[in-house]
Amino acid sequence: MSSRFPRLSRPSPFRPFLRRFTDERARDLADTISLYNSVRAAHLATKWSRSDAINDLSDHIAAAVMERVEPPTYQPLGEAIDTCQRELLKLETSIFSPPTVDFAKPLSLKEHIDP
Amino acid sequence: MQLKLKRSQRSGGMMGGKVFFVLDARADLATDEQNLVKKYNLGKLIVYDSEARKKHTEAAAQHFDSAGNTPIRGSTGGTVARSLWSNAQGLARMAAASLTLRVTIDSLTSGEHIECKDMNELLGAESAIIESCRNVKAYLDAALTFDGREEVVEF
Repeated sequence: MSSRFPRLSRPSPFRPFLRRFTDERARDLADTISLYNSVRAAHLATKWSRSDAINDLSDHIAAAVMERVEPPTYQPLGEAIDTCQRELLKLETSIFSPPTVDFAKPLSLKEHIDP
Repeated sequence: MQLKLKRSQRSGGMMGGKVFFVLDARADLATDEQNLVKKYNLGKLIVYDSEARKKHTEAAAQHFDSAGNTPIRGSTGGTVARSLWSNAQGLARMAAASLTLRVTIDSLTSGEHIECKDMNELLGAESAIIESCRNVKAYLDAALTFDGREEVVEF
């Protein structure tokens, strides 16, 4: 038996044996779909996914504003401001609607990361 | 060409006390780039060879060299046996090398999952992958300029 110290070498990068037989593309897509489902489920569990979320928030904002300033006495103007606010809130799709991804189409790498 | 790199880590080893750094790399080629890679046969282009692979390949070459240096004339049974033993060692090293990591353009487009205990080694692999993709893109861009165009260079 040799009395010499074994040569210490730096660990080398490797591919685990079972990953040689893995379809990395399919695995990647499955990971993305699972992440998408968990994000969607988390969004659906919040009040922001409710159908009346925009109306609730709009009323809340209107109430908060009216605490500080007088509402307009001319009613059509008040209604116009209210409608404008609701339409603006509807544009915030990232808050009020879950992301929609069509997984039937092939996704680009960018879409995989930032759907 | 798009390259997706994902860094992560996991615990491993007998007691789970070791940390493995993980890199998932996947390249997506546009259809015309895929055609060009096929046309210029760049799929087998080596992007990265692990240190272990280099070591095994070098050792295999040394064993085959020493086997090849055995003179045919006047060789005794001992030298023939030594030559055969060197060849066997060379083959074993080649087999070991084939089990180690080699990243090519083809394997990168299919997706690579690489792990290493040493973060610096993995970072080296990552930069080699990025550099190679850049080189392939530059190669394809340069290859497209060989379309019969004429140019006058003045000095």
